[in-house]
Amino acid sequence: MKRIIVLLILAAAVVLPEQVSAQNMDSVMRYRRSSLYSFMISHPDKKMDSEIVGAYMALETPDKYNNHDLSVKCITSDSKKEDLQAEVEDFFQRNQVAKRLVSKWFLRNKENGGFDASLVMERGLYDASAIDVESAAQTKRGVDALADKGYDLISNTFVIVNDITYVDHEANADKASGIMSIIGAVATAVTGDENNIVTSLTTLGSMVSSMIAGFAVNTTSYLYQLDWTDSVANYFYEHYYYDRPGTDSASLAAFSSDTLIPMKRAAYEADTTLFKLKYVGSYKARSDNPVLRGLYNPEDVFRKVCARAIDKNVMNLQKEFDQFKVKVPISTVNGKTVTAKIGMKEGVTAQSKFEVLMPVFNAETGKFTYTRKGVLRPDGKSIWDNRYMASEEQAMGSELNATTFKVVTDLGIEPGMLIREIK
Amino acid sequence: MCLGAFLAPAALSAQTMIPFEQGGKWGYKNAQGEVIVEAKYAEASSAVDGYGLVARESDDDVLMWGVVTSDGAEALPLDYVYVDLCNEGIVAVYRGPVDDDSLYFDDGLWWFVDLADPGRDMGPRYSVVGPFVDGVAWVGSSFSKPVKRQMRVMPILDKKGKPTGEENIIFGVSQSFMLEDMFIPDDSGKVVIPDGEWTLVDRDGKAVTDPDRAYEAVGMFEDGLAWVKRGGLFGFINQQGEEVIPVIYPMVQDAPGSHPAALLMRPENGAVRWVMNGDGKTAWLNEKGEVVIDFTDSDGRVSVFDKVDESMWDY
Repeated sequence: MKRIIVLLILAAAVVLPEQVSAQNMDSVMRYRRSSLYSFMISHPDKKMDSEIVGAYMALETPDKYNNHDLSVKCITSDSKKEDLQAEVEDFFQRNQVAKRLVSKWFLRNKENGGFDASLVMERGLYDASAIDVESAAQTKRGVDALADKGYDLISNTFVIVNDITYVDHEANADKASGIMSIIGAVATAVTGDENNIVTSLTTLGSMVSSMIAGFAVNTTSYLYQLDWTDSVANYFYEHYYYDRPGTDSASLAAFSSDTLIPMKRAAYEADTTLFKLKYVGSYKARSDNPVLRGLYNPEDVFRKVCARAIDKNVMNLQKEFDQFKVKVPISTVNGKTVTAKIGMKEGVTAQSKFEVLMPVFNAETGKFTYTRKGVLRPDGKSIWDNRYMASEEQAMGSELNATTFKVVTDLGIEPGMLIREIK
Repeated sequence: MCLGAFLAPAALSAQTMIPFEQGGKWGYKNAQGEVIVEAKYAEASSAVDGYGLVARESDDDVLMWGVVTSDGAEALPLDYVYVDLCNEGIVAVYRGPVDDDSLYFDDGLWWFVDLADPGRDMGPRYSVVGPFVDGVAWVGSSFSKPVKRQMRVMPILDKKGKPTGEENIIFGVSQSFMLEDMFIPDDSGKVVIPDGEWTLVDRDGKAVTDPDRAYEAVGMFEDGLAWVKRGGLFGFINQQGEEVIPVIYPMVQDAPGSHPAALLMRPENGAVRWVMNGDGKTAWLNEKGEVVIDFTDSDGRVSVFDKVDESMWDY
């Protein structure tokens, strides 16, 4: 019964898109999102490290991904090596990061080791029939169903490790100083009075910006994907999964008396080989010069530079690796134009090209396939600038809330269908 | 003399007060380009919450500052040496000396004015005040060294890092605001606020923390908690002035000289801060003072070559 209900809901959202409510469309989008755990490597032996860590910790998970962060968000390295891939992978293995990501998917309780499928249900639209699913989850069949439907979700779990280093060379300071000297000269020329408040304020500005105007970072982003295959999933459900107990005395008593649970728990905790992260690729780039308009203090600048640098790397990783590409639902269709909430942060330019996809659920495999329903190109004059703090910068396009696309090919494009960039 | 030329020009289209210059004077237009405040001021800032900071030249060529609203009314007469920290409908006003280069203010007094009721008594005057955030503000006095309270500005560069010739006067308060933003950095670029006597006050000017047990140093509230220092030791208070994490620790998160937080706690743990005890061990406590992670040798940062303490992982 559960499977039928879930499939009906998915069918309503996918096959009859013109009837999709905004709420259902959001649900579809949530389901389509990959999950992301990101953390940074800091370099305490280098300048500005505290500022960079502070800025990084203030950033949120990119909004096109489900937040799958673990508590450890910053590790350190004093290595002189530029490529830390081997060290990162050793860190994953030593700290069983892949297994912790699985534990988070099933909200594992550290006290009793029990699992809880509510996050899988929530991200997988299972919440639509929550009562039915919750009861099913208590049974073997319910767990098997999770093995089917959870595959798409859990296998699209990614880890990005951002190795961020301060670009420390004299040119930065010289550049900042030079910039402010020019401003000072302009101010004096305009006012003709070196002692007036304009010059004074400009001098103050120089003090601020000599610290920050040249702030730049190099960021290497390593991308990994959770290796969640059918065999891994089946082994997990078969040998490790057990529900955490309820709070009622009967449930607690049943939990305590189940002799299999201690064995499953011990086996899960001892397992150091089943769960793995596979390397996808990396991207390295230097941050762009910050636009200081709309920024209030140096912390704003550090955050903006770091956020833009990471977004730039994420965007390039998306372009490079298909499995990491975001799929965004179409918001509106109006004749030969459509809109979608994707923009410059995701690398949309006038030269970009997108395919329109209709997800089709295969009940046999428990997985989604995609049928192309059209091709789009962005309207170069209506590209949404959704980059970090673009509004504060008053950047062109930041006043929009979606990008407008021109329809190149239309095989039945409807709101709620998904778009994905193609080359 | 036209500071306006160095201010940010167009504000966001969503903003209804956009500074404009005409005949060397400044006023405001709305998003449709219609004049809503006549260009009659010597200076005009970007608007904050429907208020614009404006200035006139006094008879002795000194700028006097006040506040206008989007209908052109002067919510605060242009009678103050400076006005700043506009937030929650309240501004801080200053009267007193300005240094020779107009860089900073010292030896004068600051106090609060409610823009909706400028005549309302909002309590005493202080050497320094912070902004109102969630209905409370820090006020400071009796500093161990002179404090140089600066006029807050940010230069504007274009996308290529070149100067636009513009500069923003900062009138509002961003989420990232820190008390250090108000003071002039030293030669190294760092701001060190000397110890003083800080008290938390509410919108009526009443003390929320005990003025007889004032704090030597304080931080801004974030997630309902602010670090405080008394007797050389640190703790955290909430916005009701309660010391929810006792003031007994040699170092705590966000205090000057502390390392940044490196752990991300589950939301259900509440607002969590790290504290370090006299043995150099670190614990993580929530806004109720409850232990989330007990004292451990790790400070939350771990080398890529190490194994993270199991207590640091949430899963």
